[in-house]
Amino acid sequence: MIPLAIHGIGPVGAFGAGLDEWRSALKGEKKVEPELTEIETDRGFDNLPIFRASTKTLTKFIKSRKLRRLDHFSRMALLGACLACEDSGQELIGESTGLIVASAYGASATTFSFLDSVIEDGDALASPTLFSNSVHNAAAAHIAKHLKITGPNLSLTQGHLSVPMALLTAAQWLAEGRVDTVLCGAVDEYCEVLGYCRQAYRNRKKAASIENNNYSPKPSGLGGPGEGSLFFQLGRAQEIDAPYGYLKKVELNSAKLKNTVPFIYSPTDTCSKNSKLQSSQIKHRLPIDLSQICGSFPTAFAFDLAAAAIMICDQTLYLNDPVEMPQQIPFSGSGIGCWQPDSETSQKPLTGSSYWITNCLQEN
Amino acid sequence: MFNRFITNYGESGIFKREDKQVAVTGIGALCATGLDFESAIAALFEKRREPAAPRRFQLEHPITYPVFELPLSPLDDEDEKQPWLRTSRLALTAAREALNRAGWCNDGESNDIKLSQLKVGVCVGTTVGGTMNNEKFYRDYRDRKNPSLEPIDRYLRSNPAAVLAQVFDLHGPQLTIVNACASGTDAIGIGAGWIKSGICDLVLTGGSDELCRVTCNGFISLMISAQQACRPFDQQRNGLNLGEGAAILVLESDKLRKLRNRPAQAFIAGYGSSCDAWHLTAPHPEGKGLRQALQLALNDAGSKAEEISFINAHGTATANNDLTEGKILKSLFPQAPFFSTKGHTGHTLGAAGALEAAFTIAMLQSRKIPASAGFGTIDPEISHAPTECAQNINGRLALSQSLAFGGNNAALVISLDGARQ
Repeated sequence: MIPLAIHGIGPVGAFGAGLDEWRSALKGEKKVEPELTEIETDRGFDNLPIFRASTKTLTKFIKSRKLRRLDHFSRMALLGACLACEDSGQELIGESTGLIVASAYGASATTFSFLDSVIEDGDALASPTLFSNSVHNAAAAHIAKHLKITGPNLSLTQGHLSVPMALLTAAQWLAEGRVDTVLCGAVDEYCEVLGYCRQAYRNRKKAASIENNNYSPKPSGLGGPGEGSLFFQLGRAQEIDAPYGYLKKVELNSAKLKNTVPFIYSPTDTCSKNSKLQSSQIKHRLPIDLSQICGSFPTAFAFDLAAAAIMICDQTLYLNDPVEMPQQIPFSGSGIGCWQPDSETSQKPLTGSSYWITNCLQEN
Repeated sequence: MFNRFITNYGESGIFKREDKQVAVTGIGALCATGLDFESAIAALFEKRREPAAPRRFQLEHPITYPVFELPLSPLDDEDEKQPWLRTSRLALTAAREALNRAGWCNDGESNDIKLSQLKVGVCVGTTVGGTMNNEKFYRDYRDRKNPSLEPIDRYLRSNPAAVLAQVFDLHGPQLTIVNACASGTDAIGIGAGWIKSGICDLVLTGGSDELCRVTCNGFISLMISAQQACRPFDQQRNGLNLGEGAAILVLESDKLRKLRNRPAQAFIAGYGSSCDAWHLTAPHPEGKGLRQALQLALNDAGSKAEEISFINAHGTATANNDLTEGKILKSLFPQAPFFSTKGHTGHTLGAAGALEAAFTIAMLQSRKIPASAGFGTIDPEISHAPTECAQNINGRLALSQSLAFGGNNAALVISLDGARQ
């Protein structure tokens, strides 16, 4: 893939919306409080901490009357996209901008609301508005309409590979010359059904692939289900300096990272799996737990990349391992890796997707 | 041996492509007109078409909305007894046929080469196959019956691209595209890009979708489902019939194809996509996005509009789609005959673009295109008529195009020739 210049980042999650909020949460300055929600399963009631995202700041970008038909999923996506554009400071040129929206479940709450309308009112009175917004590419359509993006427009769903496939497609479009800019994002929402499934999987001690592969069946008390969106504004690397560095590599089926590179492997809930990682990788793993900031959801891996990009930009490592006090350590290295294990955790060696963000194009 | 390609970027960072046109070496397809590619295409030239009430589920409406369901087959076995959702099983059936036709026998061997040794990607479009909407599970959940997670397990392991990768032991990129009705066309365009740029030696690409009660109710709620057999581009058209099916194409690099000494069936010569950025459910009234996608596809192929011998149109038989599409076809390709095959297959959503690309290849090869089923009276607002009877064609290039919910547009230029540039 060609290197991708990261020009803007738009994060939305339980920590708030925008880079200031995200940076503050990363530094440990802002305590993120999940909502406690009661979930009923066959084992009784559980109180589940849910990391919900608010989209109230979306009206800063778009008048509220234009938002009235948008569901929460599309609002999160639209807010992330608007924030990424604002952060880059670059004006989008509609025809030469591509849009990619990756999501594991799409608008799941709206999908179940549509089923509510069928079940409660009958087939003949199913809600057309809910159906329209439940379609997987509704969020991309809303973003394209509000930001006037008329270039290629892609919605994709690939489970734990959703984020890497979105980034690889962005690189492909830029390399083919189809576009000059790609607004590339990931979004997933929490809904009660997903909460039920999560708890039911845990009660049955089955791998909880419903959220992401990063949860072990044994509850650790860390993190919890979450939701949010994160968009990157990406371009080819040659044009202008990239404030957040360059995404140089996205590798699938990667069994290991460069053994000298600090890397983010955020959910400490999965430390049990670390035994399968090579010792050199454990040594260089940065103690960061983003699941405490934005919760866990299949496309949350995009936040790992955003954390790496911010640390490259600030030349500071923000460490927030839950068992240690938050730390900020000056960082003069050339890059940070990210690594996300595949959901098939029985594989030996453990494989996953790896990323490499650098502050310098020439570095390998 | 094949996965170490040297990519070649110019100073602008834009890839200089070696394989400008991407070879299609095998096709598999199934839909209401047949359970394999040959029977599916043959039926498009017959007059008989019989959409009917769904067989596998019931809808509770005062009137019947007919659909185009697959013929009876073992694929109808209950979902609960299957490892994957029907959408993925349809994709798998089409993929097996496509690989066999491409000379990859026993699920992936040819000339002592195994697919699992190559860089093979999977890029599949769908709508239903990507949606968690099991109605029985949700009814039980609402009724606080603590439903079993089996339907969720089945959904989680049924991602169409992942299923194909798992069954054929493939290790390249996996991508399931959910661009509504343009998904299949976009999947082929993006899959072809993986070959052009050297990311993959071979790509399984196409689309798949099953008929689903939830989706049927959704389209009926939008008031765009017809109560009779659909009539694409006809003045009296009054909506679509949903359908189901899958089509998978095997795309191969020239290097791999030559090593295997396999002929190309056709070539994906150009791909263009765009978004209207206009309305969630209606196309841009002037077809601005479709025009852009078509121009991009022609540019990508290095072709001119006059070279297009026919167009396999999206033609859903909804008032808005056919009006916009018909006007654009008249404006850009006044000389080229066009038709919709949805009068025979129904609208297969995420599979539609792939099925229609597959049909386009077969029609280019046979030099014959069918009548546009359901058409009888020209719409004066469109003032451009689709084919009224089967006819012979002589050209080497054709277009297959899709318009979608959300304003997505995608087009493929398909060629019988591999070395146009």
